Amino acid sequence: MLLWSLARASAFIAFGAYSGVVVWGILVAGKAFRPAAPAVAFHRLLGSIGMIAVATHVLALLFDSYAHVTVGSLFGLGPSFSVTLGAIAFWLAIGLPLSFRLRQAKFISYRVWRKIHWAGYATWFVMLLHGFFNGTDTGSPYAAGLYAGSVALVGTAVLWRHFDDEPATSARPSPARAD
Amino acid sequence: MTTSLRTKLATGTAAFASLAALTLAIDSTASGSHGSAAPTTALPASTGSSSGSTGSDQGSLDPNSGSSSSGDDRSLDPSSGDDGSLDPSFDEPSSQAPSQDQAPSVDPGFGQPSSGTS
Repeated sequence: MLLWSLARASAFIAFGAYSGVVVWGILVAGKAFRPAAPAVAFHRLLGSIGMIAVATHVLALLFDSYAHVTVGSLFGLGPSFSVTLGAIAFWLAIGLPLSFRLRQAKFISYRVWRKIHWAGYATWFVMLLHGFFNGTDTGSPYAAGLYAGSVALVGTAVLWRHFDDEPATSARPSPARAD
Repeated sequence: MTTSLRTKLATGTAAFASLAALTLAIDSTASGSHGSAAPTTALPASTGSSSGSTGSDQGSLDPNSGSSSSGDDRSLDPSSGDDGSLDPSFDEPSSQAPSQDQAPSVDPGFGQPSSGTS
């Protein structure tokens, strides 16, 4: 029973953490923080917390005697499509930090890493679908609040990033002309 | 790219505390039933022919159909031949009072099959 509760709770923590990762990443990419390095580090810290929560979620389900989640479920052999969505999100969540390590090791270029990093949006969205369609607590007020709040936050951040970029680059006068 | 140790500790502690508190909260409420998750995680293929919406994807993409059990673990056990537990017509609430082990789903709209199927 405790494992089942742990699985459900860790899912919320994971989704909350990854929502924070996405929002924070958008803010960092939109140059909301100066200097950026500490903000990037916090972005990665949130990602690590999310990864730990995902691992807790998966392990709790694997060991819970009732859930009947098997290792095969992690490879798309789950009993339903919504479980498969969770497996997809799981591997994406592993792949994103792995791509960062690959870039650090210069196995991939910055440009390739940037393209891979766009998958962060997909990861978050697949997590949302997995939680919404597969979650036991989907109908509960707190789950609805978390999902709605996360969608609102990420959506606002995306819009901010989109509309903040263009005026900032085109309307800024050069230092010589400003004088 | 560094984060201060204080920030790491504070964030990690907050996450762990949230996880512990949420786990205990879920575990202590009646909504901590196993029942509502089983259709999405433990659907046996053999139930596909039982009836209508109780097929192999029953409840998997419908948040309102996640519960078809009153908390009786064996009601959704793939090895159980009692398909009455998966009958969507069982919408009456269970006569048993919810308990930690036999609790209804968190969604009051979920149909609750009659208990005692095991």
